[in-house]
Amino acid sequence: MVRSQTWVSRTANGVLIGFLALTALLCLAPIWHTLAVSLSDKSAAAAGIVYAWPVKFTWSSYEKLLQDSKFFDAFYVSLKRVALGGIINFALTILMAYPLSKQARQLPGRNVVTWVLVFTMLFNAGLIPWYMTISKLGMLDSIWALVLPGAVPIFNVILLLNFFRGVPKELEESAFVDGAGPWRTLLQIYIPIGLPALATVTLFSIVGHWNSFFDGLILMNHPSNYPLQTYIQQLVVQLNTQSLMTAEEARKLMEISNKTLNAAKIFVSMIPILIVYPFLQRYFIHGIVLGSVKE
Amino acid sequence: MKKPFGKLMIVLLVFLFVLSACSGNSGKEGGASSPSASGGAESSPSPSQEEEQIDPYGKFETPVSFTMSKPDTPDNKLPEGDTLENNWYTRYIEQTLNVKITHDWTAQGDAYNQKFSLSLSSGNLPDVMFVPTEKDLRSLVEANLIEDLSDVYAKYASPLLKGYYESTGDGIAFKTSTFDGKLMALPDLNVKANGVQLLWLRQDWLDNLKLAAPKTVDELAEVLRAFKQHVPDSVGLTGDANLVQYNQLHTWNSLFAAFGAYPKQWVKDGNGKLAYGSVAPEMKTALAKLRELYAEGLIDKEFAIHKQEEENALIAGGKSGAMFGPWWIPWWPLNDTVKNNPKAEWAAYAFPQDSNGVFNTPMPPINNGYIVVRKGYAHPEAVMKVLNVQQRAVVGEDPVYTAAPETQKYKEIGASWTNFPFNLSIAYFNQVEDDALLAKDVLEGNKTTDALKTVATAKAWYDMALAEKNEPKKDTNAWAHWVVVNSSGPAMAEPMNLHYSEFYGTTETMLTKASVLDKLESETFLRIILGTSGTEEFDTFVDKWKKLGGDEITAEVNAAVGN
Repeated sequence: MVRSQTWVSRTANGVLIGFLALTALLCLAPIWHTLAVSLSDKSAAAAGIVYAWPVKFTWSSYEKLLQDSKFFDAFYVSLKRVALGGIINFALTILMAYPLSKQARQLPGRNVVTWVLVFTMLFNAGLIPWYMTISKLGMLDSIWALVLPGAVPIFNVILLLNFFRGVPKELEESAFVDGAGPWRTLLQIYIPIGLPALATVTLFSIVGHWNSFFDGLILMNHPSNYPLQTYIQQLVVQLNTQSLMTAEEARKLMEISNKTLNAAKIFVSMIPILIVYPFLQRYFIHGIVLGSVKE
Repeated sequence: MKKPFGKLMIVLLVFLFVLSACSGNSGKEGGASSPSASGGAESSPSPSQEEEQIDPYGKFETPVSFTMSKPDTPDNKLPEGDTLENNWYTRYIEQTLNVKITHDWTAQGDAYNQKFSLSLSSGNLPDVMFVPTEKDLRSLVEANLIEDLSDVYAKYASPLLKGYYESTGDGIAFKTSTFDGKLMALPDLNVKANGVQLLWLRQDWLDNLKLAAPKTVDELAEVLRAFKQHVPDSVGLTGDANLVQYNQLHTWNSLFAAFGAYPKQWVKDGNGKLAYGSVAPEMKTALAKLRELYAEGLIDKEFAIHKQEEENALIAGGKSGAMFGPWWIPWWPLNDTVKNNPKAEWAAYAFPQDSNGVFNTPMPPINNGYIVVRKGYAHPEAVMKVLNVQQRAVVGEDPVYTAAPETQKYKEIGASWTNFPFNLSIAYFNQVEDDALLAKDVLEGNKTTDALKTVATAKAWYDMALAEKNEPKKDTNAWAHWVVVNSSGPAMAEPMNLHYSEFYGTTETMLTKASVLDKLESETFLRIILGTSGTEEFDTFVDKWKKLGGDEITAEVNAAVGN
């Protein structure tokens, strides 16, 4: 590969790099701002004068956060959810995508099944039937209500299915010739080759589980079972002023409307996902099939 | 977050109506076949035998229990190990009455309302429920799912509790919870303080400019003009895209009312019929004036796109010196103004007045929430007794409770009364302003501290206001007490016209069309104020509103009140 050295292409490169850097900064800005708010003085944050740098720097909101047992309870629920949900999604996605990636003569009815899957992606029965189903199955208020209803993420299945279809079928044939059955082919050929795709879908499902708050809100009967994002959503959205009667109740407003503490909670809740990314990233460059087959 | 939830609720309610029709039938069947239906019949002969001995606070000999759905308390402060379900308050109820309460489910705020609708649709009702809206109560009654509480209230309610309910006069307290003469729910009471919206001004700016508080809208415009010159980077009056909302920050309920306009309320027209306030001609005058103020830059240019938080930031940062809000805003967001600038002073006024010199303020419905009992639950009287005990304890009329060390401990950590089983706040209609006035009198030496002895609530005001007097602006909590005692409390006690809507319910057409009409309304009003449409747009809006279902709704509302 030879780099063209004309000034046109160099300026074009410069512009592109500048543009991309700007976009990246735009993505970082809200995170940075949240961090700055969380490290600022309460009143300064409420007055909206905190932008990129903390005003009257203080650790107090993080100190307060460390004493908040509810936050850590919710954190634990979320971790449990991600671990359980991630594993279940991972296993079921592979088991669903692999057979469907075979050709129609190997698996009759494959197209029908795929279309049924796509259908459920586009249409759903609505909130009340969904709630009633889960309630009648007795899953309300348990961790399974957060994990099982979305056990097979269709979008991920379709991604993986398409990836598997792109794998040269000679690889599979050669495995068969060497006496491998479908299970062995899946475990020793497809999964190692599919690592980049698997890393992607796993990331999707982990981030999805970590970020979703609505099902927690609806399906958990006691706030002690809320996952972290539900807990945070309640903090940020709720400020009930409907019937204040006494000074004591009014005083609570002062504490609840605490932007810096909320910012600290939001920031801490981002950390696990920020940690997961680099670990999964190394799989993105692995598992390249280039050169495995000569035609 | 508000909008999606709102839409979702409408969808839910439509579903709910379909479903409540089905579950209504099953409820009736269950009632006929289950033995619990005879529970009501069983309990009626026993009281007649011991008619004289009913003690509203009497302990049950055998333990009684019920399950309930309960709203959660935001940021709940309780001692380690105590929960919403099991804390000193609930234990006190249990030891006094032998009534054990378990929570089927809890949730907070909007989530509670949503879950409530869902749990109705799934048909698993707890024995006792907190019902968040009048709409939900109506559908429960129509589906015949809840118990008639008339007898229970008559026999078991304590005189103390009855006194509170009667303080509104004319049975107004039970207006929305009575259906065909039957009391179907125990309501809370929205007191005066929950409705009155005051004008808040930066008193230090007024003083610097040597201006008097503005009595009329025109004088208010003068003051805003002066404020803008005084603080060049200030933005004028704050606002909210929801132009009117009860007991909220930055909305303009009282400003519209100064023109005799009551948007979102039902008012009597000249012929004694009810008409919708938002389409009345007064509204056009009010909008035209607001448009003028906005064009002149006396209203925050960005109020329509700002969230409440951003308008609060203007107040906290000293960028605005005028807002409309309820009595409690010294705690939030005004406290931040003082923290950022210790020289700042805020004062509240029952202004602006209308052309007759009267301050009008629109009021929310008298009830905000209800406690109902599932049809077939055997001990509705237990529910009544729990409320008796709770109310006696909350208002400090229960010496045993008040003297208990746990009560003191809970007070110190600031545990909310909402940890009691029922989230029904029931107070005397004028409690906040009366307490504030009494505290002010003592503070100014017009009365001695003896006057506070019997009024525990006023004493709390006095103590904190005194602390502020001795050490000004040291503690914003004390400062907030001081402002209420000296400014917003007395302002609320001024003579004023509390304007109630003639109808707070929901009619059939509202269910299907209200969202479209509300959207049309708020968009038109905002466009007129922001100047993107002319004032004459109002007339087109009125025509459209009528055509798109407004006429039907008006007819239904008039039919509902018997016109």
